[in-house]
Amino acid sequence: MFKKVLIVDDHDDINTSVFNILKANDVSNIINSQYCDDAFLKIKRAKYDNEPYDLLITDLSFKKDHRNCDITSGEDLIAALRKDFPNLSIIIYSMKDQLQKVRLLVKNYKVNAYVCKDRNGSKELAEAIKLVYNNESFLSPQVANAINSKLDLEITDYDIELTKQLSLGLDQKGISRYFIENNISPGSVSSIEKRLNNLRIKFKADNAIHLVAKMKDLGLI
Amino acid sequence: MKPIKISFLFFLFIFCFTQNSEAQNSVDSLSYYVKLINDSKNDNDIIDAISFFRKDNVIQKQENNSIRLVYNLTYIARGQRKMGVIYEAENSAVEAIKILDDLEEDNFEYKIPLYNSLGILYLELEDYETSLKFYNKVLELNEDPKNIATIINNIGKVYFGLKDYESAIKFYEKSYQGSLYFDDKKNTARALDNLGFAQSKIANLDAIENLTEALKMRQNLNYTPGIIESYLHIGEYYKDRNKRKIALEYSNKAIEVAEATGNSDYLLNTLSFYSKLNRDSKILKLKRLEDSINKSNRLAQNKYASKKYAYEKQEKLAKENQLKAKDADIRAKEAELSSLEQKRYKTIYLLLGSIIFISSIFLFFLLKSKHKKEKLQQVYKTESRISKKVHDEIANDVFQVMTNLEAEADINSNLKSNIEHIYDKARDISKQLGELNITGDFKTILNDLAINYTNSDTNVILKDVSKIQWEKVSDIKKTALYKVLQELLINMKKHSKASIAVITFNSSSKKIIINYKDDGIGCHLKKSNGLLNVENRINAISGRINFESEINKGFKAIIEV
Repeated sequence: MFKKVLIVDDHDDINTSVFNILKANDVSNIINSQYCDDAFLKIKRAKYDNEPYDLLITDLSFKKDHRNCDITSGEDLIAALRKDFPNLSIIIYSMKDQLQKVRLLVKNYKVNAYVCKDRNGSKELAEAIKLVYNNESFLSPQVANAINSKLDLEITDYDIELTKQLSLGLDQKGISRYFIENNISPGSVSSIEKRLNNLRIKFKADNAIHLVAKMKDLGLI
Repeated sequence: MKPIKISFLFFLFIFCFTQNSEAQNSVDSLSYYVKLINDSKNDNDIIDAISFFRKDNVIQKQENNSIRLVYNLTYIARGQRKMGVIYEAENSAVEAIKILDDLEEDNFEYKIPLYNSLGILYLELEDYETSLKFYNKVLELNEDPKNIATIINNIGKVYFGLKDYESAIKFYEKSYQGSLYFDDKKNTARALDNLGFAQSKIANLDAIENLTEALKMRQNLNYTPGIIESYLHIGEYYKDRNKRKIALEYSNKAIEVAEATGNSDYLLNTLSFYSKLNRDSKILKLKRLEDSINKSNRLAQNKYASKKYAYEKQEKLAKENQLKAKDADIRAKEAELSSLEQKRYKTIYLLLGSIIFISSIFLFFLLKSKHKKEKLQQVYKTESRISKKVHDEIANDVFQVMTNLEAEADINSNLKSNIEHIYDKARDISKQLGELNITGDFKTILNDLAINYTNSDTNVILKDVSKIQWEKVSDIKKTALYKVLQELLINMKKHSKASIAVITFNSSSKKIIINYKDDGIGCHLKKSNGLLNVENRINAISGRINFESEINKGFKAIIEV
């Protein structure tokens, strides 16, 4: 397990909660910090002292208070550290669930895990720690789609035309013929079948009739 | 008479402006000597008067009193003429006129007597043309109708000298009528006498009657010089008609009166006439010789002054004209230049004006849009500050409570759910107001937004989001659009129980049209806080938004920006 871990969060209760999770995972050397500036210096100092941290668990958002900070967010802290500490494992523990942010952190700064603070946060964090220790990555389910999303939420005029022909009573073969005649591609039956299945999933339709009805209700056809 | 008027004017002038007794004495003696010249009994009077005026002129020259100098010279000239030193008289008159010419004012009231004097002088010099010129000038400048008769009489004399008796008669008649009108007896008599004398030369039958009438008038007036003149004229009338005896009678009468005055001029004139009546051919010869010598002497000497004056005047005029021409030339050039310059300035001003006008309009709209933009940015900043506060202070605290409660096994799970609900609400608020980083591909950002609200219950579908050229849309619009869509999705998630929400993107010319539609339970359209916010955001970027919803028919929004 990780030997030396730094927790950066400005809420004591969360610090405590994370501390307990780490303890439960047999991490002995746990340091916490309420400021990003302090965290940055501690990691630098540790390396200098030849006692480096091997995990950083940090929040992204920090309250502003009387102290003037150079580094004001978890993102900035990670950006500042990543150059000098490419091998430091980093887990984000945040309330934010914007995919854009998650994607940026994972892709640009090689963050190892992104755990969302919510009701299941503690459980997920514990899981993430274990996975990261085994050189795996972890993303909370809310933000899992940020990376390599299989979700295709966009539809095009092709889909509308497809459903329209369906609503006019054509079967898949008929649609295929119609598409080929009108130079609409792809026009093969297999492509049309694939596309229709995709649409059914998107529109949560049980069958083709249901799909047409739903799309009509939504004013798409 | 003009001189009297002038002396009166002058008297008034001196009286008004110099109050000391010396000046008073000077004026007293001035009027005395003026009188002495006008009514001189003999040459001694005139010599006294002239020497007074000459002495006074030395003082006036030092004081640079030009008008007084002219005044004195006028009387000197008159005195000299009376004494018969015509060339000196001419010199004095010309000197006076020169002084007047150098003054800026017209001073015609001073010029009149001088021109008149010169008219008389040239008449005596038999330079009729010049004489007529001066008399005409006098007539031109004169403003007093009472003087006209005298001037016309003088002009008559010129024509008489020219032997144009018809013209002379016309002028004398006019002068007679004029004098009669103003009841000027002395002048009436003179005009009548002159008329008769002129008539006598062309054998007019009225001649002797007029001459006699004039003599009678003069005798009544007891005007000696007039009486002498009348005698001489009547004498000549008879002489011309070869009635030598009667002519001699009048000649003797004239000599008698002249002797009584003691004036040598009068005596000389009368005796001269008498000698003409003499039959002795040698005396006649002497008389003719004398006349011709006198005449040639006068002509030789006396023309000098007027010629000099005329020459100087011409030169001066030439110079002035040259200067004037130069001046006019320069002025014309200047005017041309300035008009050119003005034209140029006009164009420049016009150009400047329109530039200022256009740029101020431009600036107005620029500032307005900048102000709007700044205001919006300010709003976003404030929102994100609130968002951060909600996030850091409320949501985080709730999360701490939630975390703590989660560890407690014996806590009602309903309570845990409620707390979680509060936590979600706080996060939603934070998200709605949160700072948005829209750098990067906006299509991806929108896609992320859709993903965020897509879960096992609901699918958020985007149609044609790739068709919009998002790089051409301003950040402020993108931010507003994102927040509006987010708000609609939050509402959808909270209330609609929808399974599908479709957001369709369209672009027409310069506008982006976004259609939101879900298959949820719909609602009664009340302007709930969320929708009001949506409207405000769209209005802030000059867009339009329409909502449509009915129970069980889903919720629809059309956004145009």
